[in-house]
Amino acid sequence: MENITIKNLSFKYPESGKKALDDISLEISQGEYIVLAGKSGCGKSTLLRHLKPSLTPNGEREGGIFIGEKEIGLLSEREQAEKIGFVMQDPDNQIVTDKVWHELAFGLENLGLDSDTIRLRVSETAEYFGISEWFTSDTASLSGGQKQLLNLASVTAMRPDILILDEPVSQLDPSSAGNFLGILSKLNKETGITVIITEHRLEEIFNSADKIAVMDNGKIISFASPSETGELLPSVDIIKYLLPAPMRIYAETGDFSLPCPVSVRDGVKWLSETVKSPVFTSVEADTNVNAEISLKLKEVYFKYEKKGKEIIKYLNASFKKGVITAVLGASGAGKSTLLKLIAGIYKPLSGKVSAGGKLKTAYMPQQTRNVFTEKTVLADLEIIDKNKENIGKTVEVTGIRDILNSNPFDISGGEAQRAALAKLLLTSPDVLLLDEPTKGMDGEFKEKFALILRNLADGGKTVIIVSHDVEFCASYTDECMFLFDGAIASHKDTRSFFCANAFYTTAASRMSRPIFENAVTAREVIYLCGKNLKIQAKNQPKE
Amino acid sequence: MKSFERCHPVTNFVYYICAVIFGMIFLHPVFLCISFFSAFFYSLKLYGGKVFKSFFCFLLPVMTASAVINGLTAHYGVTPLFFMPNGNSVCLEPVIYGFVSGASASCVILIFFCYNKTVNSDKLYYVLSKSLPKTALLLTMSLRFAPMYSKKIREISEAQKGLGKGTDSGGLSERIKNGLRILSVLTSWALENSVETADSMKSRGYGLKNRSHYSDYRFSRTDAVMLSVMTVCCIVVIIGAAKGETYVLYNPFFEISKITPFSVFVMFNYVVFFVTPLISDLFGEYRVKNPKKGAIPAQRA
Repeated sequence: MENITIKNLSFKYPESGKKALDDISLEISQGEYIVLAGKSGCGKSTLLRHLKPSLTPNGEREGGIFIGEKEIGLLSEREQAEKIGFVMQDPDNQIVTDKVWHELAFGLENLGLDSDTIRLRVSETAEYFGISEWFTSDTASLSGGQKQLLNLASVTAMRPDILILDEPVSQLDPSSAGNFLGILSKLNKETGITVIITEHRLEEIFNSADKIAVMDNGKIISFASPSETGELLPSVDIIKYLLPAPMRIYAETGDFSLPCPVSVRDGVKWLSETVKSPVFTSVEADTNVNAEISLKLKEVYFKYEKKGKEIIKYLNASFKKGVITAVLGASGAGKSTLLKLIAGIYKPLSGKVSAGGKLKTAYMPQQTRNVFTEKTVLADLEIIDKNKENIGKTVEVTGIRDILNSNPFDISGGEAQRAALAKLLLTSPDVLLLDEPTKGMDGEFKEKFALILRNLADGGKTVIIVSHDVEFCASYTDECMFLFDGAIASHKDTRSFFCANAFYTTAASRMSRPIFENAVTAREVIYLCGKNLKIQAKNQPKE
Repeated sequence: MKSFERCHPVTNFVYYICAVIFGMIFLHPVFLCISFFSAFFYSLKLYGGKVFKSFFCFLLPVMTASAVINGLTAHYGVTPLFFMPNGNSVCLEPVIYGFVSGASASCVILIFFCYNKTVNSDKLYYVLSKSLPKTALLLTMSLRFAPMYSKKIREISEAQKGLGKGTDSGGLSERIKNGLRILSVLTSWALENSVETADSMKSRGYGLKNRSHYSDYRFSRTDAVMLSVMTVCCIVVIIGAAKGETYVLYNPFFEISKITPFSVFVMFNYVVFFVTPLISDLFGEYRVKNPKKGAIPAQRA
């Protein structure tokens, strides 16, 4: 049994005044599933990299990390390669070889195992992770979800005691992410492997986790079980960006007489026991925007290859000026293709994309960094428009003044997203097309980004986003479309859209459904809870 | 007996390496016919009728062109066919030699056709990893890059096109500029990624001593039989060649070694060597279609 002990660990990057890690102490027992939560840039990744000596960054370091009794730096190269597995964020870059079977064997070859042992481990691992069917495929032909599963499998094949995962599902769509986390939790339960994971989307992980370590500014501010975390932290500001909806609603409602619900199932029970006789059951419906239609798709049909799969099948849709519209749907439903058709990157095989007057579109791809071509953000903006005044205005709108002289490859995902938006805006488009803009962003960045989008929409731009992020769409868009099988299955204003869906909707909506009529976001549920609890308190004076 | 495609990489490589060398150096008409037609029939077996198309559209024109060009440009030979307007004679010998070397080249191309169908990158990796482990790893890594880069180029071009900076907007110089920009992003992206790939390799123990090489190939009885047959044949052919049984001269006049019982024996071995894969495939198919008695249990009622 190898426990991990972190004792008073502090760390400073070279030439940085601030401590990235500040006096961190943690005790992690063998077999525990630990979630490291916190805002972007709070030091999560830095801490994780300290647990894997070959990836530990250079800098000033104090304190120590012990695996069992042994200081981590004293582990031999072989021990640390074999015993500590590390899975990174990007599914593509971790893959080394061209074949799935070879990727699984790569680590085992490095350890110098003989072919018989490798054969056994590789076959067993492939079977456990359900990758036998694509065992002989090229790694290039796999989907993102499959690639990340392969990365997990090839690390696990080395039989590590500790698995460290740095935002492993942030680049995956929800169903692949769910699959990945399901297998991870099964692995933890069935083999007793220690799991330490960071992630922005915490809804699913919280159910499997034994303990949550919340980090802020390089410090651990709480280390407790999921339900205790909800009770310990109601006053901390960052909480609303971190916790799953049921926990957030619990924490912010401020009634701690019952234990904190972690899952939606517990949340439904908690809500019905807390709000016993609801008086207020609905929030005011938003004033309906009767905006003019700016963009119309008529019977649009598209496929990539002559004999290939049909992607978009005679699709009709309309988008309004000054409105943020979200296109939701499973991966492979054709969402990205739809955006590219509107952007004019592809031409429909039949049908028409028609805009009232001549509208200019600007398109932001899923891989935001593809937008940049220069060495600094400023140089990138100047390619589009040299006018200083225009640049200044755009920089103001998107709030990227601090990163103007940074290299686009060095800034964080959230910053890159805003810088890319700035570049788009300089082309003075009427229609903004954004493909998965919130991928890998944490809650705070999402809110900032949404605010920018709202201002742009109010300024008369048509904003169309494609997203998997149900929570984001529910909070910040005006209208939603559901794309299924190459056509629009539903198009409603955001509130009616999510109220009408039973599965494809927010956790807050699923949780509050039995009691409240049309609450969609956590904030609305908290608002209604608060109102009802006030009435309840009035009606039942203190005994 | 199993098909040649399923044989051990060593069996495959011994055959292909010897076949290519023999096909290139033995220009004796009989030997050339043997190697050419064996390669032709084996590719026919592997690819089907498509081979006729490539034979008539590509290989035959190559041989003819080589005969014509060599005939018109080389001025040796003792059997004049006709005189060109400038007074130079065109002789039979260079024409024949041109045709023969064209046939030899076509033979090698056919052997590579067969190679492509029966040997995949995994087998090449296996053979390389035994002799040049670093090169082998480089090979498997680069095989991953090609599809990855082409996908990335497409993504970047689409993103730039969405900004009006694609390779199809603006004048020629603008287009070239845009194209270069796309390439420059690709480079920085590739460098950035290779850092992460290196991290992933290091964290999985790359660089430890005594790295091993995993392969799932087993050396079976078929491999042993085929390899010994091929080795024996090769040795006989090499002895025969050393004794001058493959001797042929095209320049300046045509001369060829005499047919003797020994030369027939060498030719027989040459045939056996070249058709081994074909026989192995045919026999393997026959066995699957006509299993040994009792190999498949009678269907239950």
